[in-house]
Amino acid sequence: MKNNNSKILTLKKSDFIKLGGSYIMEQLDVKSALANYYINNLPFIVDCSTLKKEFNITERTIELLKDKNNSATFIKIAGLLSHVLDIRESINNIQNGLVADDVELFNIKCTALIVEELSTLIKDFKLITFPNLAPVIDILDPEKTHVPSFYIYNAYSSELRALRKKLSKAENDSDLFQETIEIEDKIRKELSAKLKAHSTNLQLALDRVAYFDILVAKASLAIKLNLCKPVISYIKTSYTNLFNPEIKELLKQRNKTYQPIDIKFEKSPNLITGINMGGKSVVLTTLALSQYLCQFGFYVPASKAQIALVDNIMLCMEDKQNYLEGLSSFAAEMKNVNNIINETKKNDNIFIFIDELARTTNPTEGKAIVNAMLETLKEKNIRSFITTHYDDIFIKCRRLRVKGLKENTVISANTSIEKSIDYSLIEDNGTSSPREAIKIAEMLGVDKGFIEKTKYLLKYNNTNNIQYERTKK
Amino acid sequence: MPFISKILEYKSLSIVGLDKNTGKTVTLNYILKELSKRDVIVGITSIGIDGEGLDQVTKTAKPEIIIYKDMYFTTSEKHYKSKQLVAEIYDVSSYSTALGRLVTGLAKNTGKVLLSGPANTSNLVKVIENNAKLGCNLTIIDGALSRMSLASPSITQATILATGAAYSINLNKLVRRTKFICNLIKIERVDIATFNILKKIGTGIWIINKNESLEKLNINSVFALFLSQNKSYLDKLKNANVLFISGVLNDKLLEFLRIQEYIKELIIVVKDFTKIFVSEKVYKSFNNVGGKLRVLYNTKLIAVTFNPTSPEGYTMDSKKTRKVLSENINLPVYDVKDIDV
Repeated sequence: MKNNNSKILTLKKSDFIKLGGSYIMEQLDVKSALANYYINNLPFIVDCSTLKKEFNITERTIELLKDKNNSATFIKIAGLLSHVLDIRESINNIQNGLVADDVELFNIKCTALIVEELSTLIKDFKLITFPNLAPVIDILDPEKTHVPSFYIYNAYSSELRALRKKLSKAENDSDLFQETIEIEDKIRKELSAKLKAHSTNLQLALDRVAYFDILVAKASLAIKLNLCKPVISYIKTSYTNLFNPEIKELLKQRNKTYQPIDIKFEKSPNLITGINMGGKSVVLTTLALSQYLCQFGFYVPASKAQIALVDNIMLCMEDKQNYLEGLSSFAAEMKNVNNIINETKKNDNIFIFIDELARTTNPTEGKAIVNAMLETLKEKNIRSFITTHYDDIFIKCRRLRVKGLKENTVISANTSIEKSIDYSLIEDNGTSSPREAIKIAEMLGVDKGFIEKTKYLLKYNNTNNIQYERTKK
Repeated sequence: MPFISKILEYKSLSIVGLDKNTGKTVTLNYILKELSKRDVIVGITSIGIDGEGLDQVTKTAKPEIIIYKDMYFTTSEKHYKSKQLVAEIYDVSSYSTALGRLVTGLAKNTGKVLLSGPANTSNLVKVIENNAKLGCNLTIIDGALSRMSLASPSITQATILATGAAYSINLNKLVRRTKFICNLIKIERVDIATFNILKKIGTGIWIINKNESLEKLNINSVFALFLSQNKSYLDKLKNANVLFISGVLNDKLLEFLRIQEYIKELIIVVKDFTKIFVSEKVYKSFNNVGGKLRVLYNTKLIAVTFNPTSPEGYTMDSKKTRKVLSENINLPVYDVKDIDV
């Protein structure tokens, strides 16, 4: 089960990154070099009770982080974690009966000492327990100094001690030196064999340390970005004040404010319409991002969230990679659509996001494609979002519209577009799409003559050019 | 014992060579031997892949470095494994060089080690800081070919320059080059008042006007000074007392300034001598017209060592060469093969 989950993630990791997951990962401040591997292999969790446990422990960590009495402890924890290296390979080698060298033994000893210290530090937090590595420390610290250093100590062998004593008197005696090396190698072999008995515990300790590192980073991230703890539900998903963390930060840097939105949906298709620059794609990516975050065990960007779990998330959005692969944007989109349809045949508990389906082809056929997609998704009750600019999408489904330009907006190149648009989503019963593209173009400061020409030609849209040519004369 | 007690006045020392095979490693071995007799904790590393059995560039045999008991040394994992002494590991770096992570060990007896330390200056600074944490009183860095920058005062406080027949067996040429480098290292620090004004500046090119106001020129490097659209900046120099260049100083600017009328009234300031990329000729004529070049930070040049043997086998007259060198640079010059003389 776990393997299966990770497989989904590896396949979908590029999707998560594309959705702005890279921003979240950059903000995630893990301390150890070890945790990076685990972050790149986060499981996509579909099991409700596992996730609930995960959110509860995150909540507890946030409380601990917010408590000022703990700040000194957390600084110490960060210091300890920053010294944890990725020694999974060394442990693996020992498990397979290979002999570790001094650097590996040093790293294992340091890790064991750190785990021991962490254990005592966070004992009262009652978040997580680490396996007992005292036997490992005993093996690698024969002089009981508890100092993070290592070599093949004299204490391991009286023969070695005697030889080294001789060696220090006779400088540059290579035969003598060779002899000590042979004994050292023998000891390394013995140490590795002894450690093998504890390799499972060592591996477990690494997993736990990485988990703990990510947990603290996750909790700090939730505080920093104002994320909320999702409640897991079965069918319904609803967000209050959903926001996109990356765009919010970007706007903040430009002294602008982000307008969060409220949204509710069930296990069925939703069609989103709205003016250009109305934030339809942002809604799509933010919803997909939040679903990913939730099922990776992270808090989500909203003030309140209730989320139904899905088995898979599928995207169909513009991707520059396609050109590189020699596919036209339409071809790439259709291949993607086909993947989605195949997936719906296998599993209906998936979440699909399609941004402006069939936008690169003629409107007549484009509309038919959108209608067909909606009907397919409707038949199977697939949780999905599709954005479109097309009119006459007549398949009955839930329609949402970005409210759009506020009343009394003055249309000129000097008007701020962001301030003139109400980004909230409203239920819409019609079948037509808003017609404010020319207004937006005007506000974007497009050439006046061109705008006038467009407005004039708009009148002849539904007739034909003969009539237009006649008026021209 | 020449110059050893001087070394102990500093926390960090770099040994740089005028060229390959100018006796850097012999000098280092001598210093380590002398330091081992004293009550100090020493850490040693090198920059980049140095300390190979065979020299990386000229493929000539190269002496190994002898580390004495109770000295710390930092070398790559690969060379740590081939060390010929017993050592206790105290640190393993989280970053990796071409030859693996860096291992810092404490020598338990005396023996030979191949040194291959960090390949860049920021990691070099980390090693020095880490050594201080381990209790080292002094960290010594073995330099590499054309890596003068590690002698920058931002990395090491003091420097020893190794010169030798490997650069040129022509006495005049060798003396001229050595003298030039020594002169750069010994460039005077700017007066304390100006230093206090300039010390907080990070990047860019700045001038202090005659009315003592500090002004930033809106260009990134001296190369941009000569673009036609930046002509106005050059004009501003007429009314300046000080021109501060945080980056590199080049020939073109010095040549330009040399022929200006205001040259005697202008002080040019750079961060340290490693930022000066000018040829000997240009620097000389700049000095001749009374141009003033100063640094914010300077390195203490402790000594110059001389290796009379070139890799091709030529040997220069050690006594005579050292005498001429010493007269020219006003510092004692030691023969690496026979320093105590």
